[in-house]
Amino acid sequence: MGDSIKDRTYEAIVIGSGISGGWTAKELTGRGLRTLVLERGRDVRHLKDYPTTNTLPWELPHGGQMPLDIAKANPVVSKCYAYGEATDHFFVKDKEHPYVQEKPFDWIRGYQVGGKSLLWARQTQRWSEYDFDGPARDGFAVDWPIRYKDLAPWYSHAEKFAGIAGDKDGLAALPDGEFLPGFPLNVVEKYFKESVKKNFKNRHVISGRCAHLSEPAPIHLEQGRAQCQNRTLCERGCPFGGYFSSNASTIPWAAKTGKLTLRPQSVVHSIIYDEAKGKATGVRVIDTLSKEEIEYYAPVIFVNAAALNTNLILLNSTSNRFPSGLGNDSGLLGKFVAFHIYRGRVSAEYDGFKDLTTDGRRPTSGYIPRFRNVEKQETDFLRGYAAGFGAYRSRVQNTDGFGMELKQNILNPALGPWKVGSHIMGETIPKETNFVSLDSKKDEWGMPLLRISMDYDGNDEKMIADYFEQMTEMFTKAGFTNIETHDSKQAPGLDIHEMGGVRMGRDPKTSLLNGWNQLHLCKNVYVTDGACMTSTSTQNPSLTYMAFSARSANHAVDELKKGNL
Amino acid sequence: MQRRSALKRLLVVVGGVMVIPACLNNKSEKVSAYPKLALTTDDEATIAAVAETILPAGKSPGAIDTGAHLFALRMINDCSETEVQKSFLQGLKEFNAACEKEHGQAFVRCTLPKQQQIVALLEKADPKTNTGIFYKTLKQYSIRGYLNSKPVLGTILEYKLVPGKYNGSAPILNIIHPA
Repeated sequence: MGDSIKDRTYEAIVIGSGISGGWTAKELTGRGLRTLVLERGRDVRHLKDYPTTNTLPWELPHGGQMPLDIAKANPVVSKCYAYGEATDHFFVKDKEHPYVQEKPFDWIRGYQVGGKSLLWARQTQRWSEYDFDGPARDGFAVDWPIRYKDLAPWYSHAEKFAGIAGDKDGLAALPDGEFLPGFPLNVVEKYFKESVKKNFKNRHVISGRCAHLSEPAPIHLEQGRAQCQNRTLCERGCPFGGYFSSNASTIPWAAKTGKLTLRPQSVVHSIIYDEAKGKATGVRVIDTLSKEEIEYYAPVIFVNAAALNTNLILLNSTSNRFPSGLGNDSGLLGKFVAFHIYRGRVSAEYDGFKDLTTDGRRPTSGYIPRFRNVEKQETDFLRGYAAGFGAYRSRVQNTDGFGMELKQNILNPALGPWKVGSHIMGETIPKETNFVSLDSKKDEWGMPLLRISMDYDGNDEKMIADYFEQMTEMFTKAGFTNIETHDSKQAPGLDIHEMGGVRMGRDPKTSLLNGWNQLHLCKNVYVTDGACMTSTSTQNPSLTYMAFSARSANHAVDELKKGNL
Repeated sequence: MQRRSALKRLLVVVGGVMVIPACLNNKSEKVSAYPKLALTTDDEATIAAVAETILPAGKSPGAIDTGAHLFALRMINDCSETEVQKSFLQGLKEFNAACEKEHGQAFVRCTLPKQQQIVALLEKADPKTNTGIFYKTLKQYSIRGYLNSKPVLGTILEYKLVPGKYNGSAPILNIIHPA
């Protein structure tokens, strides 16, 4: 990188290379903009930097488990289901990047090119009209400045390129998209689907739509990706490019245009605001290796640093004009953050289909779209929940005794009953009392530590109780037995669906972003990651971030051309 | 397989040193691979022999063939609480002493039927005692290492890194894996 300002000037800057940053970069470069993508972590190149992608189970020294001293030194990340011996290198360790838990919050992070897109659960359900209508109908947060119809074409755009497997289920509460063939439900899941359809009005069990190439289309082959092989070792990075990640898809696609400059090891300190011009002119970056401060310039800046870090950068972007953070005249920046409820699980057994089992693996399972309070308010809590649902044939591992009899037993485990399980994915209501702010302590790159203060509320507790009740009833009707409910009481954060703090809205007094994800008060800065979310609904949010990013990137190019930015 | 494993057992008995599990498994791990346990070569030979009695080679490989006991030691060293490590070591010590006292020789030098007799007693040991913790911990991790090993998971159970299609309604195949 040269020293002159010209060498450090681009046509667009994207902060972050995860799911939303990757999409923004792909769209901007696709429209011809010379784009700089800044990533705070190291580079991770598709295929080349997946060291454990083909590691066999017996090649993991501890069978996948992390050594105890590492687990104890990193209590937060160790709680994450995807963290282990094979994926350790893609997760942020607690000690390396501290934050302040004003209330317990398990912040799971992936600091590398691709971010958490390497690690995500790959579930991709669209929002519906009912979800965008939520805050206005039920009187919380602020009204979304857009509706489903505004995002629908961009959902389609994102789905076609990313590759989403799913069935056309024809449900208003979970709109269909541009699907590759869906993954099959197994025999017990299909049985439950029929039972639910028969016994409950407006409740449905479907195959969870997921970002896997069940049958790649030409656009996916063109990306160098191939059919998903059901390895279900996705978090290690996929040698087939079978699931969508920035690394396998958007980043190399953007690079092919020749317009992309990717700069890893670059922590963005703040966005530079020029009072005379009334807009942002660039970003201040700390090189994580040399600790040197460098400025980069562009007429448009996208903040895609992942929800809470986007809040951190904007709060840290202070100037005479914006002493409490960029675009923050309302004082709402960092407030109304929210998450998803993942605390509840229900398990049971089914005494049928004893002559059948499953063979192989698959990257998704059943999904029950929200059925509570969809068309109107009908419970004593606001909003509702979606649920995961899956069934598998259990095996009985008898480890009694020793010698040949023990070997005989463990090499030939008896089949047990089918087991079924469900988990809640509940909407939380964004509140001013849930917020993030800057701590007075700084990290080794000079960034203030983020203070996180988020908690459950009474609405959440009622929702969890209702989920237990409804799922128990649905299981009972299906003839499932040994039904057990379990509340993990896990802290917010472990859902890895933290959202908000820079919410969209119609009025600069009550929101930070407008209907195009531009800061109301600094229009050449866009936020299209989880920070923009006004409400949370129940769907896994990544697909919505892809759609927002693509929509806003194209808006930015149009606005630049019109001279509006 | 039977003759080979008999030979291996003999080697353990005669040699009684850590070279045996190491050379039999093509692993270069030395006793120093478990620094928190500070095992002697005799200790490791005892552990290998107990594990092999729990999971003996037969038509299918045993604990030593699969490195199950080395996996167990690695898990106890790296993934277990200090109290478990302490009890495990104390239990091993008490077990060695009991073998000398009751049978006049180390476990590795006992005949196969005698070793089986001793392990049958270990099965009944109170799981809260040191000896009980020594045995249960070794057994539990050896089984896990055994089932996760290449000869068992890879060859016998045919683990597929790339499974291809999922069948959600598959018939039950009555394949018996001989022990």
